[in-house]
Amino acid sequence: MEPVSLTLGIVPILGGSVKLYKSAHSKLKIARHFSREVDRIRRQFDRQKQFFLNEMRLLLRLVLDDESLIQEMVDDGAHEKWQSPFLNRALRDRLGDNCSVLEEVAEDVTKTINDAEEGLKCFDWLEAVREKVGSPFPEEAGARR
Amino acid sequence: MKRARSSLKVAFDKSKFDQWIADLRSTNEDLKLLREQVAELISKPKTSCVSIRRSNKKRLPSDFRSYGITRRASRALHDALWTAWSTRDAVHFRHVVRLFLETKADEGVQLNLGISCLGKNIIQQSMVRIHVKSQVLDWIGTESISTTIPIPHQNLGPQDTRASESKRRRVVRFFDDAETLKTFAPESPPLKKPPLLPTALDLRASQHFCSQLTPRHQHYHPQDPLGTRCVGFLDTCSHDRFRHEFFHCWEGVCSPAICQGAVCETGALKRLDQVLSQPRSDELSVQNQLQLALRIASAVLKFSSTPWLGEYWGLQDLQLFERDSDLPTSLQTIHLRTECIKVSTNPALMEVDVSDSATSALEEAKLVHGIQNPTMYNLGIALLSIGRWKLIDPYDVLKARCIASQTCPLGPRYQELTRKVLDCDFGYGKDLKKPKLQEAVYDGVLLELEGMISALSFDEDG
Repeated sequence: MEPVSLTLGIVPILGGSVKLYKSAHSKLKIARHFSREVDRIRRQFDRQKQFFLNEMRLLLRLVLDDESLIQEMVDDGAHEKWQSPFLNRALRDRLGDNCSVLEEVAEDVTKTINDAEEGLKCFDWLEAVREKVGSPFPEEAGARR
Repeated sequence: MKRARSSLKVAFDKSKFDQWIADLRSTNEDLKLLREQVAELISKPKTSCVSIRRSNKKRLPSDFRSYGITRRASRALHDALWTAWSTRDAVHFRHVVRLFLETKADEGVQLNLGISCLGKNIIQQSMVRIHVKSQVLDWIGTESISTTIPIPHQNLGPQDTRASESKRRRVVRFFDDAETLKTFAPESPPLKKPPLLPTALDLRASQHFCSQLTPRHQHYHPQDPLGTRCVGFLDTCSHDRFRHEFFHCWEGVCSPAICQGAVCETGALKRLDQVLSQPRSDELSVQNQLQLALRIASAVLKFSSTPWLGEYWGLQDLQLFERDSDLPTSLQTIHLRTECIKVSTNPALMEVDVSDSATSALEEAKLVHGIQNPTMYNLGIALLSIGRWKLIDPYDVLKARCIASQTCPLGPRYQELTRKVLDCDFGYGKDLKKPKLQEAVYDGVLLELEGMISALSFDEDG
């Protein structure tokens, strides 16, 4: 299979990873009340998400000076700048040979989170219930322990 | 609902999640290591000059690397032209040369020229568009460049063999008619043995080579691909040795904007300061403005410290061919105009066409207002004028600085880079001949402008 990087470029792939982390995070957020085990996983996942977003901020600093723009990009994986060809070129120039390694790491992240999202499908019904009648869990509805 | 939770069995494989989290942890660790190493690699090592140069070279796009050779080639071409026009037959003519800002550098350097040769009694003569391929001529280069095919059965000495294998000699690919082959100027470097077949006309051999440039003097064959026939060459044999091969410019072969027919019409000429003193037309987008700024900034890096662009250059030295009042297209024909009127024994005297009073006013302003680098200051004035779309007087330094500190219609990034250019404030001194400063200008001005342009095009797409 052709790597995603050939078609997209490194910056859009990273933006995609940010997006995926965020969507998996919101799924886990809904499911966490289902059991302690899920909540434990959620906490561990959130930690990794935060580490990843921090890494993205530091990586973007290599090519961008504008700290508020970096923050906006990290907050939103769909931010238009994740598609910027100029940024892509700048990061490629900065990374040199390391670009392909970074692409592979980003592809690994994508694959793992895609798998995890698949694994979280068993909680999709929660979301449906939530949309219809509000949270199925009393502790989420307000009575937090 | 509580009951629902306890009675529901969800196929949730926690070991899989543990594995995925472990995977994510390991990718994060890899990411951290990679990012730290990259940051360490690109921060400039302080130990050796060689390694500094290498690391910088690596992260600068390739077009920057071509600027140095473009500068050398354009300087050498100026020398070659002016020397050729100092012959007794040519001296009675005025020569106006227009060097288009667009250049190419892959196999040698391609410079695009418009040459007008004006005789005493001729008021207007159409301009000949020429593109010149300039290549470094090293000591074995004369024979290797002027020839492309070794004559069969020749005996090459070891040195000639090396010359024939040299990468450079592969660059030239055309041949002229046999009858135009033989002319070599007496002062051209002597060829070794009979080894290789000379192919192009040395323009120094013709008394006044402008006559050779007009297309009617060439034996054109319609089947020839246009623009691929070399008119002849000039060599620069001063400190920097170059061979400049002259080709006719034809639409479709060279750059489309420069080669279109209308570019010949000298009547359509306009100076950039005239363009900027008119109100900004609606057809001109912000992107067009930024592109103009980028074109000029890149020209300053390419042609600074060459006779084409004096230290005290200004917008009036830049001209363009106005076409159907289509300003964005016309701006692509922007070029530097220089004139060779009479011969002087000191070529340096012809280089900068600026009056003494103007020079001394600027020298004084340099001291009074702390102008670091006049070339960059003038670029700053140009950027300021383009940003505001009005002429800014370079001699009123105070006013220029005031305007530079005010909000610019092109945004804060443009304002900041203009200010940096005006003050030559890049942290690498004021000598634009220094590669460090050139790199910093490339990074802080050209790439910055390019970034702004691409951000705009992105906005438009999205």
